[in-house]
Amino acid sequence: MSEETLSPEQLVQIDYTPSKKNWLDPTVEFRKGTYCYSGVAKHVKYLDLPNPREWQPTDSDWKLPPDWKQIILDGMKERLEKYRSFRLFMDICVRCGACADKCHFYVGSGDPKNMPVMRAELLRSVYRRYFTAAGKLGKLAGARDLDEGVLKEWFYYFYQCTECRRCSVFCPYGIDTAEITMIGRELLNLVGCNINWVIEPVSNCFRTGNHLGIQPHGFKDSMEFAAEDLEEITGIKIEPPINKKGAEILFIIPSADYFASPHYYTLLGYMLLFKEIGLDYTFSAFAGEGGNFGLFTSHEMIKRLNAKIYEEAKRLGVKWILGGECGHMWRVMHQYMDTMNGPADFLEEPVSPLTGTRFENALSTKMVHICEFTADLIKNNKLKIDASRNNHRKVTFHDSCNPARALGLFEEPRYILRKACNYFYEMPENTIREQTFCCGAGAGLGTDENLEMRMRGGFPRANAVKYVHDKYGVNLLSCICAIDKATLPTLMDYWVPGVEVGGVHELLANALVIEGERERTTDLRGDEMEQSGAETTDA
Amino acid sequence: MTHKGLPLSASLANQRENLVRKWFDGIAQAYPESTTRFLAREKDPFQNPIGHTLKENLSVLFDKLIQPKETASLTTELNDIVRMRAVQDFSAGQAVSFPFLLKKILREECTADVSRYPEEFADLEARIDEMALLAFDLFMKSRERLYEIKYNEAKRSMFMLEKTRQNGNSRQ
Ligand code: SF4
Ligand code: SF4
Repeated sequence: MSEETLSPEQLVQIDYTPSKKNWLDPTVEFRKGTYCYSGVAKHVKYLDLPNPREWQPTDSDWKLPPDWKQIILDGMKERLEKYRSFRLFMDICVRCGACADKCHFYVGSGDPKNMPVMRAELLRSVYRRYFTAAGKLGKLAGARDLDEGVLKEWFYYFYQCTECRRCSVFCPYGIDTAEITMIGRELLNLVGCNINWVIEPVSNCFRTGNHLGIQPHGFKDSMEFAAEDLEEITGIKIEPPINKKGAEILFIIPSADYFASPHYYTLLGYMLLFKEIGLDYTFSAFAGEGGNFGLFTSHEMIKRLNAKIYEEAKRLGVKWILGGECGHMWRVMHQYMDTMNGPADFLEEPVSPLTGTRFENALSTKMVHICEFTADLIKNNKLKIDASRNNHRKVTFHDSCNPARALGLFEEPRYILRKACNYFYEMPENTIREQTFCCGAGAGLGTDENLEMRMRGGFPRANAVKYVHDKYGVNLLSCICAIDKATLPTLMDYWVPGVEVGGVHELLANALVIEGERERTTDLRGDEMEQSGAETTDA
Repeated sequence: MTHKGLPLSASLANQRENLVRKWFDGIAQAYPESTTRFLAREKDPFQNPIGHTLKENLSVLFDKLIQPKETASLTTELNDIVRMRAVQDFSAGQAVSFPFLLKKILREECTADVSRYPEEFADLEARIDEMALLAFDLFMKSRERLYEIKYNEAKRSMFMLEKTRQNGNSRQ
């Protein structure tokens, strides 16, 4: 049928032989859309990090320091001695493969080097070569010399891991590839190989206390602006407390809550809730950022950025700390803050002033998650809620990786959602709670030059949302993480158009019946509410 | 002209399982080896969204294609596949070449049908060519979509700035 061969078939020059690369070969292709831009020199310099310079991953010369190899190996040695877990993770993997198909980047891209076991192997192969006896003799299979090709591969794949820890849930030995990635990034930082979407917020944070570099008067303006908006919507006048000395509670939020959408509606939600219950709290312009991109840089940087939280709590003389809807901030607060910058013995055990509930789980950090706080209010009948005000929303909940896997916060947000919404539907069991699929943009990868990679990584999450969207008509994906709120709308726009993204406290505040409010016809976004009576469905 | 229930479509319907599987396998083979196995083996649709998206939609496309009279739109199923391939590690040509793979499989697997129903077979191939063109359009749309959503994301990140600016203007 040769006449057929002049068809479009030839135009696309089909090659039926599969394009298979030898995946032991370290060469990576930095294709546009699949990598992040390098850290800008002025920010690297500002943070006193090594080797500030102008460079991009696509350059053939990365302008590494002449002794870069020794720096990396020394850095590895130091960390192998300092972190027992690191050495353990290097030694004990039996390559059983249980983690292999659990990473969203693998599941969404099909690239075998995104299997967690292979990601760890990038570092492990170098560990074998230089830090084990057999490796030193050059006799060990799977040992690799450290060269520039390997370093570039590290950069490519360690900035292709969102440190979400899904893989660790399935590893019978408890190997946490996220921690391996963290060490990998620390090592890369030693020779100046970092990404700007992490380094710039870190540098801004160091200077002004928040990611965007918003100064105190800007912070104040934003809060006042939000209060004005709330007055317009509800008729209730609110004066947002900022840097209020002697307040009972210091409230920490991610900065995106006061500069980006849809985060902003969650901010309105908190403010309305606190007004309604008459909470004695304060925002802080100095500790105006819960997010801590130090987590995506190095342990040292986590500590430097986190220090302001306790410092500010001390300065303002509060009793305890409440934290808003943020993802990785909770990993830092829960797993690092106490040992890095504690003990916070100047604070008291957190007790809800409304219900008297003691938050014993926060006894050491003195910091309570807003979902625990609010769920407790609802449980004790302290709030009047009209769930029918959310009837225009068919809601599902995305467990953000860190609150889920680092904090174990599964039930509280769901409890609030089920009380505040009549239509709530869960995504399939193996895509939520501790098995939740990442948004594909965490750990500093949520930048737009990396969009294609994010769409790959976020595909498993989007695929599960598509299922509840098709089946139940879900039109709102709720979550409690600022990165999610920034990047899930983009993911939805691509994979599941028609699904918006919002916060748990936004939905709560829509439904919250406030003393003295004017009749509400729109929700906090200004979207029309359905005015019909409630009808309860629970999936 | 042809009509529904033709021997060719009936014959192809009988071979559906084998043909769709071969089509799937051909596409899956363009991924690295260990992934090819994973895509075929993992049955859970949420654990294996690539494999699932391919399997589900290829079957429906096949059914629609072999019905000569049916002008059912292929857009939804085709888009589900193309949207996925548009962000994976493929060139544009590789991303939309999979319809032609079906032609190749049909010619190889259905030699008896090809010679028995030459006219109907040519019609079918023409429909596959049309599908390929549609796939290419959808591919371009997905790529354009990436630019749009990037722009929307940037806008959302400057929400407050924009709001205060507008407010400042209205106060003047
Ligand atoms: S599950 Fe654990 S032991 Fe098994 S391959 Fe993965 S990291 Fe290694
Ligand atoms: S931590 Fe998450 S992104 Fe990193 S390898 Fe594991 S599953 Fe993949």
